[in-house]
Amino acid sequence: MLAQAIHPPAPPHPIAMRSRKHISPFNLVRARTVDEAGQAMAASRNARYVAGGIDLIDLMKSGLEVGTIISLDAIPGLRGISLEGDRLFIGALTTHADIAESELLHRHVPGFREIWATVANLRIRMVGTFGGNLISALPHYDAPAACAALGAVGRVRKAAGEYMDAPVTALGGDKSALLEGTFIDVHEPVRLLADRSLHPVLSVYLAVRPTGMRATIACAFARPHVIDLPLDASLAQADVAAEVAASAPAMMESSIASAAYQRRMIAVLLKRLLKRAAERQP
Amino acid sequence: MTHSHTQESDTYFRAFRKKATGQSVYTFDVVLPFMLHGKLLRSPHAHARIKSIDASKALAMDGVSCVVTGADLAELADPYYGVGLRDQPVIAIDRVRYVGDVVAAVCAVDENTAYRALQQIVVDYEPLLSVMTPSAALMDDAPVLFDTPTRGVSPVIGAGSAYKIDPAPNVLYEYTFGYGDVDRALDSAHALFTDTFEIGRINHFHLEPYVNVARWTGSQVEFWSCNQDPFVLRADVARIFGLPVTDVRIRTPLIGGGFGGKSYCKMEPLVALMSRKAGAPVRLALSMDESMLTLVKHPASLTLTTGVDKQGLLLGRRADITLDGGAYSDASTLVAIKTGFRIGGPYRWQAIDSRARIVRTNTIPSGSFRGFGGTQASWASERQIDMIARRLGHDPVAFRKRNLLKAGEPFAPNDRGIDLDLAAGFDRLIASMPARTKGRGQGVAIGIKDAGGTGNHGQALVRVNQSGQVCVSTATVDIGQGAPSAMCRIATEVLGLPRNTAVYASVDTEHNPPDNGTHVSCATMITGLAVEAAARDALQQVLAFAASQLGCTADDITLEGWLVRHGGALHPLEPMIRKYFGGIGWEFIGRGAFKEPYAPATPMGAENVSWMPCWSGAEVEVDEETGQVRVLSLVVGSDAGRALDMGTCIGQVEGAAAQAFAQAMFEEMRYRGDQPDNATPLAYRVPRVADMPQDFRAFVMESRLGVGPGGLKGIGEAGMLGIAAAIANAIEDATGASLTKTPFTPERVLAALDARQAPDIAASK
Amino acid sequence: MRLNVNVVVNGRSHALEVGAHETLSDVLRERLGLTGCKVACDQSVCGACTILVDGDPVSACSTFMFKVDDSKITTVEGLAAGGVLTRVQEAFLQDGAFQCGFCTSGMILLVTALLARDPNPDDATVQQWLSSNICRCTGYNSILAAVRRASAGLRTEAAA
Ligand SMILES: Cc1cc2nc3c(=O)[nH]c(=O)nc-3n(C[C@H](O)[C@H](O)[C@H](O)COP(=O)(O)OP(=O)(O)OC[C@H]3O[C@@H](n4cnc5c(N)ncnc54)[C@H](O)[C@@H]3O)c2cc1C
Ligand code: FES
Ligand code: FES
Repeated sequence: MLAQAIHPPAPPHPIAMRSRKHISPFNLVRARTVDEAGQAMAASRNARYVAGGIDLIDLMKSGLEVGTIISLDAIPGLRGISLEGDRLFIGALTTHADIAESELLHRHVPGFREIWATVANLRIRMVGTFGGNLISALPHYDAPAACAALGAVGRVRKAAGEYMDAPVTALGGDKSALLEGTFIDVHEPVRLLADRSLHPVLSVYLAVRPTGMRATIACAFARPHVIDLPLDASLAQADVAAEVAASAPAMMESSIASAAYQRRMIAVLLKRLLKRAAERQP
Repeated sequence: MTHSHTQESDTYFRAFRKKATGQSVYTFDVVLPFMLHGKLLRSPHAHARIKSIDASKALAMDGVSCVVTGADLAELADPYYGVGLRDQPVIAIDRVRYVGDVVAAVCAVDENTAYRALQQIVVDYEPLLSVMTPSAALMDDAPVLFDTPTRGVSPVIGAGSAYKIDPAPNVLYEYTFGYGDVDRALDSAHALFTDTFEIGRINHFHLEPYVNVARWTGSQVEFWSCNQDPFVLRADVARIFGLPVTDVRIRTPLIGGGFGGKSYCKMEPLVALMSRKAGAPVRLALSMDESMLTLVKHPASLTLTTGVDKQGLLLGRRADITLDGGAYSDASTLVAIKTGFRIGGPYRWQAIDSRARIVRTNTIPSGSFRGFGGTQASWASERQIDMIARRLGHDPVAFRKRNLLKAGEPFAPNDRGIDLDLAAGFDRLIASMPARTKGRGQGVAIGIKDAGGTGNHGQALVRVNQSGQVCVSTATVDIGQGAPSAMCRIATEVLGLPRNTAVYASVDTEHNPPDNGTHVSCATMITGLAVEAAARDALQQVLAFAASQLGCTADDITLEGWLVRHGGALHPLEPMIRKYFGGIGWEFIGRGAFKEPYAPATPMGAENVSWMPCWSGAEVEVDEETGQVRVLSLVVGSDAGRALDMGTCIGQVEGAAAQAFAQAMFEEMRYRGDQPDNATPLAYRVPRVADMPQDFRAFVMESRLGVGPGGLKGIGEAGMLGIAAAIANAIEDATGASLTKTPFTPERVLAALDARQAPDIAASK
Repeated sequence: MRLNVNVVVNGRSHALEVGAHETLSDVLRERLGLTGCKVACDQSVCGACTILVDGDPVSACSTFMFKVDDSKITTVEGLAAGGVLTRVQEAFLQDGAFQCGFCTSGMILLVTALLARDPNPDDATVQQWLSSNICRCTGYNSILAAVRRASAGLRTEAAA
């Protein structure tokens, strides 16, 4: 009873007002440095960063009101992929197309480039950013799943001005934090495999290092489900995959596929990835 | 296979050149001076009573001109629309019946302002219990969507057909059809099979959303409309506003795709009402999401009981068909009729007995979708035929051939005979299938539907000027099907003039002669016959004039291009005409008409104008671990009677087949509880290049047996029929898994694979 | 908030004052009258609004106008300079690669961008690119044929 009494008024129903033409007016700040962007964020109420803008525009067309938009486009150094010691840095503004074309990334994380050439569609790949994808972090998005498998960490500037490294699966909650980019540890060889054939019902990622493998399962969970797998050749791939499927947490409700099907597919797709990994197939 | 177009300067090229350079004007692009913009507030409830609507805050906003609600309908002569049966209010009156039902409409200076005004409207709802599926709606204690009897009349039907309006609570319409003694046929059967098939809810996803611009001048209203049926719309608007039809003018610019979704009256009367209240022209362009909430194709469940004799001859079929009509009637009556009538497929039967019911639910209204009725019926029928053949150990191809109707044989008693060679097309299909490969399955199907509608008519004007230039004027709209160039071609062929001498007049009910609408694949056939007659009329006038000038009779002369041959001499016409008429010259205005007469002794109430086959074949590979199906080959054929332009005909068949393919494989509008779950462009999946089979081919036969000019007939809907069945049949061929519900999602396929071990439930005597 | 944006559209420079919230498709259609840019899904899905920004295919419906400040924009109206159709437009015409035409501007620009990058794309590349845009009418065969025709044309041109 009490819960009902203090229940907040329902937001406008998305179907009640289906108009994609409407974007509420807002203030625009075109930041030239990360600090400038952070300061603008601290100074405004209801502000959002924008990168490619694809997700933000979509949200705004369905009613999201934003007071200030802070464009990150003009900040140097946030777009591109570089090697920093043992770590590969993917700038937050790097587009999906940049990733799909990067030689450097291909050299250090074989597999990544091929997977990224099929993410979303070409127009989105041209504009949509890796960082925007990580921050939006919808269940079926690929960047969180790929990054989680690779154990990547995000370099974040908090609104108060301090910097911190956060695991990618922790990104997105704090809208005032600015993501500069993501670091992938490449001190030992690593390859990335994925089975997206059932996307958006399920996708499975697998990062393979000489010292171990890590799988992530996306679409079925609010955040990618991460599992470290042993490199024990004596274990049958099917058994390992079945074990992972059986112990995965409860799936989200969806009208596309039942939880039972998704769980069963975890076993199938993961088994296939493990086989590809063992046979050194791309 | 591609057919390139080489007639540089014909109508086809002129129209397409505009499309390729961004110059063509769609209703979407129409802008009028002082035009306001509309936006609609929709119900978040599947079923609710509207207790009150407070729009005062919205009205107080700068730039807002007016708000229209159900209260405004009091001033209308008849606030309801629908095809035959009219139950859909122009805007919700006191009740909403599905999530997306329109409750208020705002007119404002721009779309942004209108949208912001929507947010200020307060609607107080009293939620009611909802029914989301036909089975829920048919339960004894189910909430009822309508408390009053449905207004209107059933469409025309004839002997062997019967209907009931409102036969039971939440049942809008029941159509029954049959001939022969079905009990006897089934009793005498060697084997009897009962199977149930389901088909999913589909959205049209035309790229140009619904869009209309309305403007009043005094008591006259004019529209720029994306509607496929300008004269049908004119009649509806006139009835709703109590106006003479001459006070309603509809202009139809290019249409950016419709597939049936833009057939019949939709939100046009509301736009007119908004414009009248605002005292200014109003444009209402729905977003694609809203288009998706406007109309869908009928989901259906079809239970077929079919009897076969020892030799594998089909004896009788009983069909019980439940179509989910959604919240309002729209074209549901027609869909019930066409599904029930077509359930026998292209085969010879002793007896048929079918019942098709439209059940109301609190979902998006269902209506016309390319090939309606035919797609639902052919899916169930062709799937069951294949299952029966396999269960009896017969070859599905030979089984079909044994039962196929021959040319000239009637589809149903007293109807027009089959106007094509079904076996010839089937043979061509079989010959076109790829060689068998291990691990893959192949399936075929033969869809069929009547085409051309019931008792339809069309009229045409063909105007020929002093220089031999032609203007063809009809009410057939350009929706991408190539009708304008077909009409021009028909006219110039009769006149013996080059194709590039003809232009197609833009469609405007104030100028063009009427027809029943651009649907049921009737344009080139029925209106085409009218054009042919009009061109003949014009030709007679030209000859009569020339004869009078040459002092002979019309029989003595012939037209050769724009010259008259009289014995050995050729006389140029232009100087002859100019000499007589002077001034700006003259036009010979030919008039033509065609009407398929009503015939009460036929099942549809008129002979069906033509028969439209769809020979389809698929080769598939199934991933038995995931249930994913890959269609490697899809071959689809139909009969154009005569193809005026082979490239266009192939394009129509391929385009329809691509839609049918997607509906079989993955396309579906889903509900979660009482909310549409994927009614957004992003969530609703339609086919892309990568989804299409690598080997995707269409062929078009030319039986020359159609009633249209030169034996042609319509082909626009053909590719829709039978594809789903062919694919499911191929899946069964490959794996033994039996699919009875579209789309064949991996999960459903996997479930069917799992069910293979289950005992055969077929009752074989 | 209003701001100034400089763009070159189909070779002509425009200094525009726009609202920060305006999208490229709004400005092209409503301010510059370039209605060849169609808006259908308004959600980056269908590609009817595809235009080229510095040669890259982009959804005009999902791009803020401020984002294209100082860019070169090409719409379908900018292709047939002087009334001479481009090779891609010509190929679409020859193969009847459209029906209703609502997807056509976007498709033609997409293919134009593809062939500018790779005049001789292999089937996989063509599939990947063309899968970005939706045509609800044709079933795609005729569009794929047009792409092949246009790229073959480019090849012959290069060989000559
Ligand atoms: C049709 C379609 C298909 C798609 N398919 C896929 C798919 O298959 N796989 C997939 O993974 N994704 C898919 N997407 C999602 C797409 O990849 C994302 O929309 C895109 O990556 C978002 O990037 P953006 O730069 O446009 O984000 P924006 O819209 O600019 O930003 C998104 C969010 O992140 C915030 N943000 C952006 N950058 C930063 C930063 N540096 N620091 C802090 N906050 C930031 C913004 O405030 C906003 O909340 C699809 C989208 C569409 C429309
Ligand atoms: S309208 Fe922009 S992508 Fe569909
Ligand atoms: S031609 Fe109509 S959408 Fe492509």
